[in-house]
Amino acid sequence: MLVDDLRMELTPEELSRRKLLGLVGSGCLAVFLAGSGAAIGQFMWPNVLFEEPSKVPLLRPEDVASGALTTFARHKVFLARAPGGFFAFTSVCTHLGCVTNYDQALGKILCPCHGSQFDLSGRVLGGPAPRPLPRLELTLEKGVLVADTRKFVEPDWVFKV
Amino acid sequence: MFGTLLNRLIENRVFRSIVRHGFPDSNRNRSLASFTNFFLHLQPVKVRLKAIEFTRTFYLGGLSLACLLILSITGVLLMFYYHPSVPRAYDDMKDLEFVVSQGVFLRNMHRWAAHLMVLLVSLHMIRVFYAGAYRPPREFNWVIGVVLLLFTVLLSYTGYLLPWDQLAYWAVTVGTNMARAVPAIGEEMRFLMLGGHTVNENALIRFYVLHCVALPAALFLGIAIHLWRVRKDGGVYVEPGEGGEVRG
Ligand code: HEM
Ligand code: FES
Repeated sequence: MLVDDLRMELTPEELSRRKLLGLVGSGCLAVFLAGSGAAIGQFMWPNVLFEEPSKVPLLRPEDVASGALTTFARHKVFLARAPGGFFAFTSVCTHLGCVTNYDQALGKILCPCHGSQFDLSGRVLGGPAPRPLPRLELTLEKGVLVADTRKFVEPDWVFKV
Repeated sequence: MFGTLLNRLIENRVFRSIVRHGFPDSNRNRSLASFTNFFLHLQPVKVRLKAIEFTRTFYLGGLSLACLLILSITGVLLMFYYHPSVPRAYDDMKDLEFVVSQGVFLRNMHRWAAHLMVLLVSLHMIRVFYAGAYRPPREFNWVIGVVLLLFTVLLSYTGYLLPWDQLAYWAVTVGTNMARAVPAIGEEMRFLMLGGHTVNENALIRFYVLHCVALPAALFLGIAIHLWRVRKDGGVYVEPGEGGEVRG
């Protein structure tokens, strides 16, 4: 604050002009801050991602083993045969997102982080996982089974070929 | 002999332009020493002997600050070798451990001081609580303290990702999935934190910038306000009945 300010005699006119200018100034500042905040928020939200595509090619139907899971570690997907078709589900644990492992000897899926266990169709057998490993939509493209890692389907959904 | 040398050093225009008060041998000059020094002015000018007893504060706040200073110096040094990119980060940590002179010492200093700081800040908070030093007029300083604790923990968390090893990767995967549990905006919060859907190069650079720039700056500012308020509230809390002489 200006020191001289307190000693200055202000006419009512000057006083009201000050009030108005003060209001306009604060208003501009508020608009500027809100705009900057929104712009920074937008800036921090990436528009283009260089991530793995969500559609991942797996195997030809005739190559899928029966009685065991096929693991696609890079895509974080398990693939299995069901009576009359196939299903795929994510290997990302529904607890807090670690990647689970298929233990062939035990015939179970185990999570290394906090010990959740799942059966071979992804149902929870134990541990903190709140939900089964969700099934992924399967399609057939050029004779190859393709899973979409962002499209989830009903737990009993089977892709019939 | 020593006296005249000291006088020669002090009684000249250059020194006088920096230090504008006399030797701190009177109460006036001692007060001026505090008032006119940027760093000291955060502190109370007068302190009760009782307030600086070791067993009153266990110097926990001061030791937290000491940790932060160690972390800042070692951290800036580590930054000279560390590249926050997926192909380089882990290799740079290995280089720091096995190739760079004093690298392993600096890295371990940084890591241990970080653990210690979280511990000390927590103990400091507990100390303040048991002393009842959060009561008026110190209520708002407690609130500032909570923010400082949050910044400290966030620094610890963002730093944890930077080595880009298995521990780091999965800890941050798990941690950011916890953010998902926030009602309504959880998914968006995680996306914003990671700059994507998975812990990836975007997440690494975000955590790096937060860890090396944004959070330290916020923490230093917060601490400055915190210490300034300790001073404004009459220094460290001493129970009213306790008395204690005032020393300049
Ligand atoms: C970066 C973390 C922090 C630093 C560097 C810090 C530093 C300090 C220092 C140097 C003091 C002077 C007395 C003492 O050492 O106890 C102090 C006092 C105080 N601190 Fe902190 N502090 C931090 C975090 C916290 C937290 C997490 C709280 C509580 C939520 C807190 C609440 C207070 C209060 C209320 C006082 C006044 C105590 C009194 O008057 O006796 N501070 N702080
Ligand atoms: S992330 Fe799988 S059990 Fe916690």
